[in-house]
Amino acid sequence: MSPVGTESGLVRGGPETRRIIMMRQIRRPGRGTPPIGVEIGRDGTMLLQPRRPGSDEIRRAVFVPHGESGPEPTDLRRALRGFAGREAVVSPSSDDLEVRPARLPRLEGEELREAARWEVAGLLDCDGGDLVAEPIAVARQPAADGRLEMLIVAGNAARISAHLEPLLEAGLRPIAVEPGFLAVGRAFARRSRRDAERESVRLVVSVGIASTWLVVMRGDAVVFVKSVLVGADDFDRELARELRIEMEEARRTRVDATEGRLDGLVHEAVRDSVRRAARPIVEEAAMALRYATVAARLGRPDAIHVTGDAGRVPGLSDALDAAVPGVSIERDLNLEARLDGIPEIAARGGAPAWMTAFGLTLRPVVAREVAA
Amino acid sequence: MTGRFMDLRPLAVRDRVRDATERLRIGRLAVVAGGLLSIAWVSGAWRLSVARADHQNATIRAENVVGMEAEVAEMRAKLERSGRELATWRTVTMPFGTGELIDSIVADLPASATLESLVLDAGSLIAIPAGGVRRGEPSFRRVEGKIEGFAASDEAVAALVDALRSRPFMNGVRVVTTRHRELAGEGEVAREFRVAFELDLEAASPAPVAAADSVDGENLR
Repeated sequence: MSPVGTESGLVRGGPETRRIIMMRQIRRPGRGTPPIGVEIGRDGTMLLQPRRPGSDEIRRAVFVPHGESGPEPTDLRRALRGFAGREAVVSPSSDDLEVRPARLPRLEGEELREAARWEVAGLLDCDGGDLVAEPIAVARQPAADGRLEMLIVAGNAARISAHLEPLLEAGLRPIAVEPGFLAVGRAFARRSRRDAERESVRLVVSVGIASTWLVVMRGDAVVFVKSVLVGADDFDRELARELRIEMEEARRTRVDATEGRLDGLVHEAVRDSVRRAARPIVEEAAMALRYATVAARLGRPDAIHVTGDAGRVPGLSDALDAAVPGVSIERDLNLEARLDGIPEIAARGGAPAWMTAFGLTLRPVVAREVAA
Repeated sequence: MTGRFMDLRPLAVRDRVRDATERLRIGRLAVVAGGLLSIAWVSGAWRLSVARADHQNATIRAENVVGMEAEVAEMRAKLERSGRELATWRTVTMPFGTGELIDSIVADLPASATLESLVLDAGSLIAIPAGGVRRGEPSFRRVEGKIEGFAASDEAVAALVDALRSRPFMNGVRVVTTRHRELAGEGEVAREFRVAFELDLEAASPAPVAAADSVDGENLR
């Protein structure tokens, strides 16, 4: 563990990353062919595959641009050249998923899934037959009425099927569909496999284009998740208003500031704009950690990880650091350096933007077999 | 439910993926089975070709053996036929020349004796001894013969008979007759003799004996 101020230079850092600590990988790569991580985004689909299961050595990473209608099977088929196998773990766009808190009786397996599906159907006021749903147990012990506090992740089956159709036509075999927050949390929980680290609590902040996931993890399990409708677009919008420029120019300015190509007044303007725009994120993050510490009695968080399309934007880490004092902000510099070493990844937002796709490839093999 | 992994695939997608996985598994099995069958077919074809080559070689060898056996049988038949012809020939011929016999008898003649005739009875070659061959007694081929001549005295005749009896191939040497004889125009007398004998054709040829006895013959003369 080393402070960020002594970074090796592989990862750019600024004053806002002063407490970033390098992680060390303890999980050994396995054998066999890992699945392809497929993250379906708003303007493109990311495909990534490591060379071995659990390894951070990347075999291939491809970005397939597309519009609202989703990727073309022919483009996907072309992009799949160079990947090994055709099994994929897919993450749909966060717009397609809903997370709702619910209190469910203590059930197991399919019964619990069915109960969660019909519960969330009632909450969303739609037919349960049109939904797919998975529950996450938030509390360890049931309440006085015997019910467990849970989060239900739900999505419209027809929309998810529509997203998967081009992948199926391209020859991919989706062995699972997971929400992005689960994958990004898994990417940072790679080191939480040892018994001593199973109880460590961490907050993962994944800043997307339009929204941000706040994921509280205990060990390698997600115990709380919340979506905040603030993302990189909001940063750009605030920057455009501050500097009185167009949105596209504001986006380029933000990217330049993120990649260290700006300094002086413009850099400060980006930082201030991000701080202002990210206030809801910071507040929700503080509330999430308070929930973890007090309500869920998980104990004091050990670290915060900031990632996603705008995870490295100047000012965000500063704002989080100020809102949650005493909790270190950590980065997996080894993993980021590995990912940034791939030209396709470096050209498409860098390692933080590909963390979800990477986390999808880490899905446990046993779970994959069960799901299939 | 554990917060570690989940699967939001709709049921139809799960079915499609399961079917695709099953098809892939069957396809892989088919490829493996096809590969194994190809290997088995190639191996079988190779072994069949080797077996055919072995069979062809064995057939050629068997034909050679059969041919050689036929040749052996033919040669054996020829040999048996030749043996029979030889046995037949041996029963009707003498294994030595008459000249050698005369030379041998002349070698035994005393100096005063003269040999006038030698008669060999060829019919005795195939004749069976009177009374047949007794069981246990060896039968031998024989030729009956007799010589006629005259000598100065009976002692000379006796010496000739003794000399002939000492020959291993002569059996039954006996004096048939001796009588007085006057030599015409010379005014001298001599003893005319007739000696019968049997030649044992199974015994040694008279030729080497004649050579060996030539010294004795000279002495007798």
